[in-house]
Amino acid sequence: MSALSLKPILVVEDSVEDFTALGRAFRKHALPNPILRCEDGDQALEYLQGYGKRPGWPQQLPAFVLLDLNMPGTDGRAVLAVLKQDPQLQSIPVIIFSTSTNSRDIEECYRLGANSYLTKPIDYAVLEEKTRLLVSYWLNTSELPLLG
Amino acid sequence: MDQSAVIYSDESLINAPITLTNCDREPIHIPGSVQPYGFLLCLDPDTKQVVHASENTQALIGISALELVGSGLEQLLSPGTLAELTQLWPTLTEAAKLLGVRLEQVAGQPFYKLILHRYDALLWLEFEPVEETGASVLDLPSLNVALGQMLAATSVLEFCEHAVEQIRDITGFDRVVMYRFAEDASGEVVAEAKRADLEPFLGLHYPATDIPQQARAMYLKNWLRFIPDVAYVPARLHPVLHPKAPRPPDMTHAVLRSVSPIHIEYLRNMGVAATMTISIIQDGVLWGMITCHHLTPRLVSYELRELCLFIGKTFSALLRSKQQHDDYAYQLHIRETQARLFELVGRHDNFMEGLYKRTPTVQEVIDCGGAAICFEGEIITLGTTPTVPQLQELLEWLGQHASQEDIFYTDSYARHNPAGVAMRGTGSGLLAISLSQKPGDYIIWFRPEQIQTVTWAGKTQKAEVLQDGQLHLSPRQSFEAWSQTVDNTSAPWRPMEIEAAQEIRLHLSDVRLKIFNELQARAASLSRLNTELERSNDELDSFAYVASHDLKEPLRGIHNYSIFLLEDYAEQLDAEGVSKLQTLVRLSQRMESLIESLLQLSRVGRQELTLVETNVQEVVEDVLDMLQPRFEQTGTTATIINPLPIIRCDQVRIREVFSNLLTNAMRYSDDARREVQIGLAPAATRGPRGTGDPEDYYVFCVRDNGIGIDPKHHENIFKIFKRLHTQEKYGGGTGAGLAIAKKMVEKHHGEIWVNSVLGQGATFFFSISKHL
Repeated sequence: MSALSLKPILVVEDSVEDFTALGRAFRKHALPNPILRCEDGDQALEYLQGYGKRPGWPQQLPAFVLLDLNMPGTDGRAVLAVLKQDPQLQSIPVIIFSTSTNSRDIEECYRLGANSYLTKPIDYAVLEEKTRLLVSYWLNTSELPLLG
Repeated sequence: MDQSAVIYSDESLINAPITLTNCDREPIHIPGSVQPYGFLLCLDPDTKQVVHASENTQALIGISALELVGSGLEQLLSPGTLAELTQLWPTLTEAAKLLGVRLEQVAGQPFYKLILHRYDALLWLEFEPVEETGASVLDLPSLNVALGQMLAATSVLEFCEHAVEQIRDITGFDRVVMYRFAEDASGEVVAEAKRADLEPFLGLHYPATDIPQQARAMYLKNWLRFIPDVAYVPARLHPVLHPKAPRPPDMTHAVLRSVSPIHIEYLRNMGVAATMTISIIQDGVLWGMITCHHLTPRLVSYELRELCLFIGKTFSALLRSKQQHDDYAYQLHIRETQARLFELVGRHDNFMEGLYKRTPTVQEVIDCGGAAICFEGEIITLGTTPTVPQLQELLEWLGQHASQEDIFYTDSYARHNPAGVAMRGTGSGLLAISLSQKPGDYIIWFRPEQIQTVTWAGKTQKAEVLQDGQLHLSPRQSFEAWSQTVDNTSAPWRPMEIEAAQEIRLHLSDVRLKIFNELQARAASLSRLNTELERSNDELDSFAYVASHDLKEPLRGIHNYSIFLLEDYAEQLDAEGVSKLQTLVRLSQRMESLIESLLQLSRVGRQELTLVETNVQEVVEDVLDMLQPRFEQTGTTATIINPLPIIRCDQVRIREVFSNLLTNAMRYSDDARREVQIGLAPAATRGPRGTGDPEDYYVFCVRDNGIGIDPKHHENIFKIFKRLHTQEKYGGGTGAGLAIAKKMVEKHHGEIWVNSVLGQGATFFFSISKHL
């Protein structure tokens, strides 16, 4: 297990239930990485852009970001846009995790630089399968950038 | 203008032979002779000596002219009468005074009417013998009735009729007619009272030249002319020349004035032996004449002539009010018809139809033979008009020659355009108003050639031609001559008609402007609605989006937590609890698919088609490939029964339509061996809304041998979430598939429908426009 794999995973999700389900699914696959949650876009940006501004904050940038699109206040599109414009942060893989199946949303997210787009399934079994693939692909199959 | 200042005649023609070519210059006011039924003496105003006497004094009173000239009146009159005259001299003017005198100094002491006036520096004494009858001429009661009738007349025509009847009653002439002069000075007989056996002159027209200029000028001064016997031999004046001028004295106001030989010839040709004419003068202009004819010589007493003159002057005075009456009646007709027409125009959706579909039509506003409405390439004719090709030529001509004018009118189109002769019978005269800036948009009123509208019994008879190298004057000859002056000419358009046409033009342009404004407003409101629709579509879009997201989220929570309960607490639940949780899971899944369908349907309607050349054969084969595993499971065989075309459509959507129909065909069957056929429908196939003509549409069909659909549901199945079966049966879909397919087909300007009987399979058809 490399140090890299122990980077945290940042989940930006306003719904407690969705986060609970996601966490449960990750645990099912015995994910060793810590899972950080931000409840909305502003929190997520504060966390990510706070990097290096204060000593020890954040400890580490996430291995990847799981980003919900529709959130109160600053939504996922805005967060995505900011991340991908930020030279410090733009190499972090951002995986959109949204209810929306709308092709326009999908189109737009990729245009803004999303690295993947997953829809939230209603069926928990499907969610478990998706998280399994997510972990195995992004943490075990892909090579991720080394971030300061 | 002082009429007397106009000199038309040429004194060099005195005593020269007068012909038709120079009669216009014949000095008719100074003939130097009188009609011999009376005699004339002219006196020097100062000396009261006779300076002229007519030659016939010898014949009438036995004293020669020679004897009379140079002496006073003592030879004829008694001192008493002379004294009376002495009182009268200073009062004399051009206007005649009348005395009854007995010639006491003459053998037999005959009784004469003495008519006196002063003119041309002479005192004029004209002596007319008095008729033997001597009955009083003035029948006041009947005159009152006559005037009453004239006053009561409501039109000029009726007025004229009363006048000629009246004059005939008073004078007993065989024929009395009213001539009316037109603008061009030609004349027309507008009223006639005659002996029953005479040929009617009513409707007869004659050219302006029939009454020479100088005669007209004289008729303005001298209101009544009388010839008791046209066969008279003129009695010359002795001497002929005026004492103070190198010409005969001016007889303009003399009742005995000898008339032009040309005039006499004309009368003779008509068989007229005696005549009397009375001028009808309006505002100093000769409006017409009352003309009396008698077939035998007829001496009408001076008093009766005075009475006729009185009627003539009364007629002249009342004429204006009758004309106003006529004008007013016509004006009223125009106004009323216009008002009703405008109302019709306002009531029709297509305002042009208001002009001709109902009565009154636009033709009826103005007195005309017919009218044409030419608008946006269409030509509607009313009444008697030129032919459509002639109208098209006319429109062309108007476009070239009157395109800058709102209104164009003429009483002789042929004068402007020689080709117009072809339509003289229907449209010698035309009055056109332009309806728009576009060429060829006109309303045109037509009037036939005037000659064709004239109703004179004698007009079709041939005019006499030359006799002995001389023109033979006669009414028919006159009519012929007049006819030639009015070739290709209609009755003229009156100012009020032109005004009415203008008003119609303005009204229609107002209406069009209003319609245009309404259209503008409608377009504006349409665009506003469109904007609103777009906004509400956007809102619907975002609503559907937000709703789907916001609804799905708690739904997922319900679903997941039910799962967690099942996973984490299963051993604490009994079977019923587990089954309830499972139901909860199933319901949440169903709810999600309903939301998803709704979202999909709302998307189909809003998104534009992406049109590409699509090989439908390939698309269907592809769909069949995709469905193959499920076809095998359900024992379904699918066949494409005839090769499918390459069409222009939104490939993705058409693919979805086929996919949906094929899935349904496979699904709704109880048969172990299911058969589905895909193909093009027969050419005669038509949808409920009439689409399907092979000219404009492709029609595809998908046929199955499944459970069929009761016709009462044929419409409902295309409604969103409308299901015919419970979810447990036939692998229950959400009920959105056909609604989505219908929307997709409609986006292709087609329709989708089904043919089926319950239990006997179903055939779905859908049409796709060929003009996308």
